[in-house]
Amino acid sequence: MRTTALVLAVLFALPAVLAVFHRGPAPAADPEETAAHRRLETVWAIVPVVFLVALIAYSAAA
Amino acid sequence: MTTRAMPAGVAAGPLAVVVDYIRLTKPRVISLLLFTTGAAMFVAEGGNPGWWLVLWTLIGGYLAAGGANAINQYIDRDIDDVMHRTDARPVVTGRVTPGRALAFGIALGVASALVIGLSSNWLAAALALLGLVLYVGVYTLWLKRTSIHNIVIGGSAGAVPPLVGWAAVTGDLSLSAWILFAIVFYWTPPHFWALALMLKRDYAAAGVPMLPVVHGVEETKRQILLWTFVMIAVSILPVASGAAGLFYLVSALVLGLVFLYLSWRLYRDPAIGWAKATFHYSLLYLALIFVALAVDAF
Repeated sequence: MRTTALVLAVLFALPAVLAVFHRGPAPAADPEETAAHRRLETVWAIVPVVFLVALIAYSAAA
Repeated sequence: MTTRAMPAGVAAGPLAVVVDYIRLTKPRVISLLLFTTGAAMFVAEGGNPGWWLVLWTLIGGYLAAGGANAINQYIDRDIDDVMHRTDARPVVTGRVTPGRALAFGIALGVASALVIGLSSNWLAAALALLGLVLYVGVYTLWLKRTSIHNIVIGGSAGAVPPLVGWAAVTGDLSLSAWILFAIVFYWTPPHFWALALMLKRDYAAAGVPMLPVVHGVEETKRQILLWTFVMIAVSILPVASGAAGLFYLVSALVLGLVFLYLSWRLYRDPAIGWAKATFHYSLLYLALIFVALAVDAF
């Protein structure tokens, strides 16, 4: 059952994570937005994905 | 930042003052957070951890979350005044002065640490304070007005209550505790963006860069759908890690698929008519997923 659950978790997560990142530039993006702010926004977008990958990996190893 | 003068003729008797201070804590919002705390305690124990421990931890949890909400209303009093949803809050209307709201919030935070620390352990107390700091510092002060990821990263504050409950019982944080944290963390975006769709004008007027304001309604619907998939994946991890069994797996899948159905209907809807149903179901979903975890743990 653990293996089934793990496969299900990956099946649900993987396409969604890929699609989340497959997003074009914001149409209403602020033209005065600084490069530093853009980089920080990228970091914030990556954090949940890194956390998710770590959780799945630790769950598989538990 | 200004506050409105109290309307003439409004009596401010002792009961009204008490009600205003209770309203500062946002009791309706806290009730769901406390639900996750209590359920996490039963999961951590694998049964009843003891009613006194549960009671004191929930009281401490209320104080911490209430303190965070009071400080939030002190900081956000300028934009609360602009938004219809929040323009009747006690600080905005002047029924509670900003300084008193801030002092009240700090006092509740200190009280929460003492209550939880003395009734269970200081790790749980520190986590309760961490939740307060995340909500006030990371969400309210830093990200709310500057980032479209405000409720994703800032939402981590709302995911701390299960950690508090777990630590109060066990004195440490295992993988299972972090999975409970993650269930709330990944539930927050589809939950909050469904609300933000309904309040888009308010957030735009207040200059808060919520996803519907910055990227538009269609992109928000798409993100809600995608994050619902991720949320379901995370909700299965207690089984994948061996911490929960078949009852929970079936419950998580059924509850998650209903959430997915609503998110899909919202995504396909040319308007935002399904946002309200999605938002309300998200509240029920979180409560029931933690009930299922607690029942499975027995």
